[in-house]
Amino acid sequence: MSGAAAQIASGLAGGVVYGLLALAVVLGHRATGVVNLAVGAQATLSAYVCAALVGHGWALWPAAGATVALSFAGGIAVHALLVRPLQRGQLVEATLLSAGLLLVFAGLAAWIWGGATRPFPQAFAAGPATIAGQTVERRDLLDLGVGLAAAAAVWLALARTRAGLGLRAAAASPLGARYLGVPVRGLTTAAWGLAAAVAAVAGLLAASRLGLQPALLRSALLAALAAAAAGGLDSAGAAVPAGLALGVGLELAGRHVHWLHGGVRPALALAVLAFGLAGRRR
Amino acid sequence: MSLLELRGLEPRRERRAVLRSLSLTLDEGELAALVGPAGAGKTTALRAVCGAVPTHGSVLVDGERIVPHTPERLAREGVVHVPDDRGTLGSLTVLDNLRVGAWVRRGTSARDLARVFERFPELYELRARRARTLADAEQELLALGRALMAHARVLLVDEPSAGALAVLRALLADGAAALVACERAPEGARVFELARP
Repeated sequence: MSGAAAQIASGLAGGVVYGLLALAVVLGHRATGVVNLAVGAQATLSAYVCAALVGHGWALWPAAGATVALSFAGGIAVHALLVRPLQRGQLVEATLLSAGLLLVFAGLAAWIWGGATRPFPQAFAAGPATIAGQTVERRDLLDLGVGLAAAAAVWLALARTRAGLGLRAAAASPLGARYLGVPVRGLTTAAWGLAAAVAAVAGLLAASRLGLQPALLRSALLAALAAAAAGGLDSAGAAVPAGLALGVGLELAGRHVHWLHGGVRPALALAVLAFGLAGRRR
Repeated sequence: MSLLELRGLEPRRERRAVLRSLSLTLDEGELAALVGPAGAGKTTALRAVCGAVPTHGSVLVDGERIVPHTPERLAREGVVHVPDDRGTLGSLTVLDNLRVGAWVRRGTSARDLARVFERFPELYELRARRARTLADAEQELLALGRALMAHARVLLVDEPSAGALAVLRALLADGAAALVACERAPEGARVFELARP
């Protein structure tokens, strides 16, 4: 199954993971100004938690739901206990803190569950599917569907709920929002939780594709930062499309460009990241 | 009992007072003005009233001391600040700006929206535009529109334009009160000269 359609589907399924992580980065950045480098490691930890729940006899879907809820709570705890007290308007300190958290989360997963790759429970059986005469991997489509559904849920929460309106107001002008009675502090913490929940979905999807390993999303983080930067770090609407485009681009480059060996994917992601950041500065 | 009372309000920077202590009362329908030349601390004084800068002293609404003295708490009491940058929520549409104005009402009522658009027909024309694309005068109207959505009882307005003053006077007739900061006292306003300590 190495037809063009299958490759594109595989790229989209990988790209939705980048897109969700990028969305998590954007949500955190819009709310706090901090680029949370720990999203990938946090998402990986979430995947381990889900596998542990399944190991304790939970069915996969309830375990996944509980994992997303736990990640939401975990994101809130991390922001309330670590990020907010440290930040006080100091972006560099908070960003360094997130880099530290990345190492802590990755270390925690390796310490508790070991460094070896472990199997992750599968929600969808593998097998081919045919769309318009093209054969693709069925799981790719289902992964894509789950990822897009999660992104749509976030979009609805931001666009259609009162808390979402408050969050957008807080991102536009924190003080202007406070003058109107919007509880910016609480909503900022909630946004960090929402970002952690979105990242958890990315972690579950990635683990189901690649198996559980402490470095699961290490390389995806670079692509996610690139996808986030493509929208200027502040555009939730651009994050997922950019992630999908990057997923397809990296998939095709990885298969067809051979002169950089395995290096072509990170190199391409780095180039997109650099261009995105350069465009943001202008 | 006054609608708004300031008792010994004294904004501070690095633990030192930056303005002489300010006390005043404001009743329904009243317009008061903090007056002083550029750099006299007018903007700081208004920020102090709504708790956006560290401040000694206290603020009372309907005779009750407001604790904690923060912008969001005062907004819930109907005290809305229209700051020097107009507090525009630039990445939101004009309509969403007005909906955020209704935050303290726990939701946007169609009647309130209609009331704002009736008073400011130009905002209706602009309702789908991102607020940051509005001209300064339009952003000032939008800020007043947000205050209307909040059913503000006290408006704190930094450097209101002539047009904004006319709107404020109309609101005073409906029972609101306004405390403005400007270089020259508007007609009919009770004047408080600002002074450095």
